[in-house]
Amino acid sequence: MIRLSEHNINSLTELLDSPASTFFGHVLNVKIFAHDPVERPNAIGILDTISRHLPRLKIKSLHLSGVKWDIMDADIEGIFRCLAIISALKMTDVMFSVPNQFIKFITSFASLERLSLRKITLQEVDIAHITPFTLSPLLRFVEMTLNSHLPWFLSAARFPPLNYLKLALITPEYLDAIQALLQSSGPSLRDLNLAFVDIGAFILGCWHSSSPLL
Amino acid sequence: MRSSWDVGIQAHHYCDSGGGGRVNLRQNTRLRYLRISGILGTILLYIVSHIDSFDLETIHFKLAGSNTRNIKTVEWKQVAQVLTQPGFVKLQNVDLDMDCYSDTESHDCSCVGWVAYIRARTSILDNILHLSVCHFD
Repeated sequence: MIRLSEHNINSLTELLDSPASTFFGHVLNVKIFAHDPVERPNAIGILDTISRHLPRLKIKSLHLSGVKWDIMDADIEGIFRCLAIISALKMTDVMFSVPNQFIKFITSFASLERLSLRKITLQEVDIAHITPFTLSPLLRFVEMTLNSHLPWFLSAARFPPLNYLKLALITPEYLDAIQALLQSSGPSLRDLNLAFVDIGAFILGCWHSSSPLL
Repeated sequence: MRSSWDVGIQAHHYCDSGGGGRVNLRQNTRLRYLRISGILGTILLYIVSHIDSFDLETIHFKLAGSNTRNIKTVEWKQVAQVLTQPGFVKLQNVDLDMDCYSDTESHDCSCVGWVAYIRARTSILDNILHLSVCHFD
């Protein structure tokens, strides 16, 4: 695991520049994190620092934590080409500006097999301009902690049949999208974990008459 | 489809026809592991009656908002009967977790007897049922 932050990225660049570097011969698990969570650095900026080396790095998994993903003046296409070979993506507390940046980011992982999303936030959610999009056809493992920023994602994303699905903090607004996801996964789904935040959300609008708590 | 599972089970009608979206698992016919948390015990029967997987090995339910009245409202015998139907032949573990909160004034534990009450009604599940009560003050 290589842990990268805005504080050590230049040191990695020096290592990669060295003729004796052995990084290129190994499959890498990369974590990009915020050294100071308050600063919330831009992960694109960190990747851009090593952009000329990215085509030679064999990154198997990428974990973004406490950062933002905000497209700026960088070698975006080169970075996106690098993302296309990654098979596992984990994001924890990552901020995007608008849904379309999130969609462009997540659909660039063309080889993605495992996806883990926790505490994804957007600065603006303009759902009027969201169109359906397709995730990697290799995707089999999905775990998501839902929040008020993501109902549009579950509805607009086209998932391939999944083997593993874990959804946490489920609220009633997600139920239709979850049912559609269960439907599309069908017999492929072997392991399902649903955690509801509202008691009785499992059957929306149905429990009020039967709940002794009310 | 396994309509025979519903024979003898008087499932409660939890939903109005226009009650909005709901989750059911009938299409997931090869589920091996199922974990659902944050639900009331009163919908356990609905859930297990709407499973069509012959591969299920482990079920884990974590109930929320339990109290003694709640626990005694659950159709435990029927839930156990469904889970012993031939379709659940591979079932090895049924884990049921419940949270118990002490009475805020008397500090009495309200969950005394829950496990015995449930066990008495689910004895046909024998040793595959594991009950757990987590106590909170």
